Amino acid sequence: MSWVFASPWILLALAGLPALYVLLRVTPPPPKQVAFPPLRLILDERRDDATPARTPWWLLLLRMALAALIVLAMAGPSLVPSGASAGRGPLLLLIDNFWTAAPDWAARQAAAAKLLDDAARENRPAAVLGLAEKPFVALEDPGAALARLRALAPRPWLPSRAQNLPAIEAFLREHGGEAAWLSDGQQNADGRAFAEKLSALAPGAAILTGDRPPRALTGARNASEALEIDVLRAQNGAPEGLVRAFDAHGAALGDAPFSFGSEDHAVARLTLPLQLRNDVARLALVGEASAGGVFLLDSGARRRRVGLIGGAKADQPLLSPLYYLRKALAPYADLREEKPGEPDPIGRIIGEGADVLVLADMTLAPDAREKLKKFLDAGGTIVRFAGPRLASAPDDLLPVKLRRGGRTLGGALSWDKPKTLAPFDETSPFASLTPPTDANVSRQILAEPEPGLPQKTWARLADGTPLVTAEPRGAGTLVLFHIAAETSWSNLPLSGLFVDMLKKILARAGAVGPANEAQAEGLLPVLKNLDGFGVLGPPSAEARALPKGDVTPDAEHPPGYYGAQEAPRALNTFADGAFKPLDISGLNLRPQNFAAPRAVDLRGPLLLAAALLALADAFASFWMGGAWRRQAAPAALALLFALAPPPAQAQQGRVGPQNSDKWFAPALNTSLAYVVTGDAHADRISAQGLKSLSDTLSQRTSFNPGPPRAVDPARDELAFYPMLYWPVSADAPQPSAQVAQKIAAYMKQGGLVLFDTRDAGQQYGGESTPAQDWLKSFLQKLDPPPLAPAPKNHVIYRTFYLLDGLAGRSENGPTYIEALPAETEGEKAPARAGDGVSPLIIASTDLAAGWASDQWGEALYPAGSDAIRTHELALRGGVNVVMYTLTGNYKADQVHVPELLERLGQ
Amino acid sequence: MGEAGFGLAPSSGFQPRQSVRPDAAKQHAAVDLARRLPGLILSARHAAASIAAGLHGRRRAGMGENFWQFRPFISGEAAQNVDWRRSGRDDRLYVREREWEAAQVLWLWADLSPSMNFRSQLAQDTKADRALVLALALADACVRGGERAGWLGLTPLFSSANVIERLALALVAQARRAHDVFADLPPPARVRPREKVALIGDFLVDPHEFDANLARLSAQGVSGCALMVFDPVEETFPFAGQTEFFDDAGAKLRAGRAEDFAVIYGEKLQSHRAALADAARTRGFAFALHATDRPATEALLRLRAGLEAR
Repeated sequence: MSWVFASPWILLALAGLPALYVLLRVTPPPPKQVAFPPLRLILDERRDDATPARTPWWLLLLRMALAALIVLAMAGPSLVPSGASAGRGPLLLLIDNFWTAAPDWAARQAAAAKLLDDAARENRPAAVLGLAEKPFVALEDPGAALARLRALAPRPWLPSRAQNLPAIEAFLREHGGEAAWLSDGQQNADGRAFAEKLSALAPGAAILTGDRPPRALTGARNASEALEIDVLRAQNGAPEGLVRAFDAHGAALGDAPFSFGSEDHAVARLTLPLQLRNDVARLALVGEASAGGVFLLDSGARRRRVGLIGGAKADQPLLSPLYYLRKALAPYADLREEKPGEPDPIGRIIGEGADVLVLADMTLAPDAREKLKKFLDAGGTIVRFAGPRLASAPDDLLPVKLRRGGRTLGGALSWDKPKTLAPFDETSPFASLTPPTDANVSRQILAEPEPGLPQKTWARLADGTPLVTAEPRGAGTLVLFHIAAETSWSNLPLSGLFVDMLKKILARAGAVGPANEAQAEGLLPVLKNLDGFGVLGPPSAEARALPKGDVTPDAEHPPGYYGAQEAPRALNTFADGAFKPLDISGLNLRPQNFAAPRAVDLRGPLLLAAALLALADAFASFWMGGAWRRQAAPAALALLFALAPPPAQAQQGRVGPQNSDKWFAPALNTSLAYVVTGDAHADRISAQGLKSLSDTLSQRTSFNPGPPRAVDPARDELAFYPMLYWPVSADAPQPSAQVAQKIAAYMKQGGLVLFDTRDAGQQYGGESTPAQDWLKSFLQKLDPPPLAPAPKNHVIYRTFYLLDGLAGRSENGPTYIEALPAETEGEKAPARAGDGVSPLIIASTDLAAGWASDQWGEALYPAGSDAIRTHELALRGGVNVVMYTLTGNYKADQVHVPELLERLGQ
Repeated sequence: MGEAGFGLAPSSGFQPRQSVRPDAAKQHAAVDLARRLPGLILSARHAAASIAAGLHGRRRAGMGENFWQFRPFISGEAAQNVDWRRSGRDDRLYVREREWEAAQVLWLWADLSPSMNFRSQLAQDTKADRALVLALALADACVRGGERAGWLGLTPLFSSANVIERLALALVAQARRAHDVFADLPPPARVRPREKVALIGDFLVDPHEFDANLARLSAQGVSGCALMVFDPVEETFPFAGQTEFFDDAGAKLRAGRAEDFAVIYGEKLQSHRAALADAARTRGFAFALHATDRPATEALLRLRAGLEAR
């Protein structure tokens, strides 16, 4: 450890301390000045020992220390560990931003930032070069270099480091200076070669490595019992860990622990049920956030997609062969079925990426056969079932030659009994299965005896006749069950063996090759890419289509998914890779651990100490001045309280809204409300209209509403108001989505919104008015109920007055309300209502202007020839609407009262 | 008290020192006083109104209208004086006499000297402000009660309702004339016997001078009340630590530990007050104390009690 000062000459100021000492010593702190009128009463009590002549020694010491600390801090001291040498000239920082550096990337970035900070303190320019980036390096001030460093992120591939050498060489030749290499410590592509060249270009360059060697997943095999995952570690990596499996949606399916022991390779076994195992899309090393710690599984490991085609359409499902196949396969495969009346089901299902086609008894057209042959060549598996049609017309898409007609066992004209199944051969894929004794076959089609038939036979009956035959065709397999897939020929489709046999076939079936032309040519488009931290995201901008064959990930082909959405191909970061430590023996490089301590800047702590001393000095001065007890102590206490955590009360206050008048008043007295549209004129009319309507309600009904309230749905609580009057202004901006949600919730909770389009006179033809357009687009966000024009006998016209319509400023205009259930035939109800209150009424007659009256009851906005009558009608309509809001369908029920009374009388 | 809105932001210590320092800004003091008077008038009215209901209520019915006694008619008197209703009851003639209601006279004086111009952080007003408010309120209360009031040695007696404005005008004029120098004891003035005098001040003067002043008044046959207004810190002496005290006269006292003076000061203050009270008692004056952190109403009541007792 050694001291380094950024500006040592400032230390000369320490020489001034003695002068300060003298100065402080002769200047005691001033006494407090106090005005005191009755001073003459005690003036003769004057004492000589009352004034301290000198500053006390401890205060002197405090102030001297304060001054010394400030001088020291200004000199910019730092504590430098003995190993690190402060270089001269520009600093070239080379960074391995590969996925191998991702797990401790934050620490690496911090270490690099520290290096840049040190350079900045020494006023050295710097340059930052990520070795996985384009080889470009330029001299920058440390701030810009720091920004460049922040922008670096680990890349999910291991490029050649040597490609950067020309740029490094040019830089060092031009600027000279010191180089530092923040390395992942791995050989990768050409680590040794790069290190040799670097030691030649910049002798003595520091090579900084971490103490966290990378680990990676290099492969995954779907073995019979478990998913076996290869885990690899670099030298002395963490000895054990966990591999977690995720499905395509990112849900964790299971964990597989592993332990390296003394080796650097381990196998994690993920034991999961087959169905779940098929769902695994991604494996990740827990705690290893790097692209190498992620292994992507593609359709090779995915569950199979099975197409079900053919079979006679039976009216009864239990007689349909597809029924049994569907039941057997659905848990284990992704099923695609023929649609009724579809012209080319085979072509479509193959196009959808099916791996296995199950053909129930059917005859194949020539072009269908061609497609199936291509499918077989591409690696598909076809499972065919016999049946009457196949028995009568065998085609060439069969593993064996068939005898025409079938064989019936145990029928009325046969001596034979239905046959059971023989045990499976050792070579058969079904070898591990045991045939049940009660499964028997009463009818089958027979193969022509021919050479090689035993090899093609996967299952046989007790008498040795083949039951399941198969033959490889192209890259695929053709399997034939010599029985029908339904129960008329055999009860095998009812047995568990049937399911097991199909599962074995599925497990054996390979993935089908490219399904479309582009893939056939060998170029797979990019779907998703991993980033250096192992996060699957959108394709990177530089990614190119993936050629066929083995590809090592690089900048143009980052790891991720390629190909078709249905059957993507996974390109993994480190598939079958191997770690090799970087060998720098014999090279002129200084290996260091970047986690080791670097220079410590002491300026901050020194200034903090000085500030604390200054605070202490201030308190001391207070105390000396005698003000401690009266002023400073409360001040200090106040400071303590200010620093203390806020009491719980403050948090309580945040929970609920303020209990102000704004909340209480509407809650205590039901009142009508209108929505503020922002159009001052409309808002004034709304206020006037609701005011006179409220007055009318108080006079004529038992409902005494409070003064009407202006409501902004964006800010105000709506729960207090039974009804909102909303004049639609076509010029107003559409309310925000939050407002729409709030209004929708209000309507759902039983509120009623009365929209008024105010365009009664303007509606002609089929054209919608601007206000209607505005309302339409708003209502789309509200989830409104079905609306209909209010019928003449709607309860809203019956709740208080008997009316024909809702009049406003104009008498006639359509009114829409929640559609009522259809009127029963012949019934002529005097009033009809649905369940509850319609959450929505759309009027058009400018209601508020119709209601509005001055204090003497005269209409404020008279209209038409009979303004008095219109005004009265408008008020009656308003009363009815409010009564409807408050009482619902009560009046509709009340019309039955006379009849009920009559019945009771009998 | 609600007096707010003086032009100056209140601060502790001696209020504007222009009146004690020999600098050029003395003119401002007059403006200052004139400017603060409207506020004082308002608050004085308020204070007077608040006690009027308690002590003056019955006396406001009107002057000379109250029945006093019936006396026999003396021949030679004007016949209209005969109270015929009473006289009709027997053979003699009677005259109804009403209460003789000569207005009482109250002379006011408040100490406006620099030592009064002081306020500590514990008090609401300076002592001078409080004394002015009390004096004006007292004048207003007197006039409303049908009595007459005037400023001792400065104004004639007023009985009009705007007595506060007239006193204030006279005070401003006096402040201009005297260049803001007010004496700390009442000036010699001509008063009549049985008139009342109310003296309000901090009386931080030699008790002998105080006694001499009261003796001069007492010799003229008047009695009254002296109210000693003091700031709370002048009684509690809440000082500690290294302190330099100064007063309006420029005297300074440097105390290393101010708390050492507390006991001595307390004793001195008690003896000073005792001397003052003794002097007042012997000269026929009531003596009362009032701290400026107490409501002014309290002091006004105390003054009234002191004035009505004698």
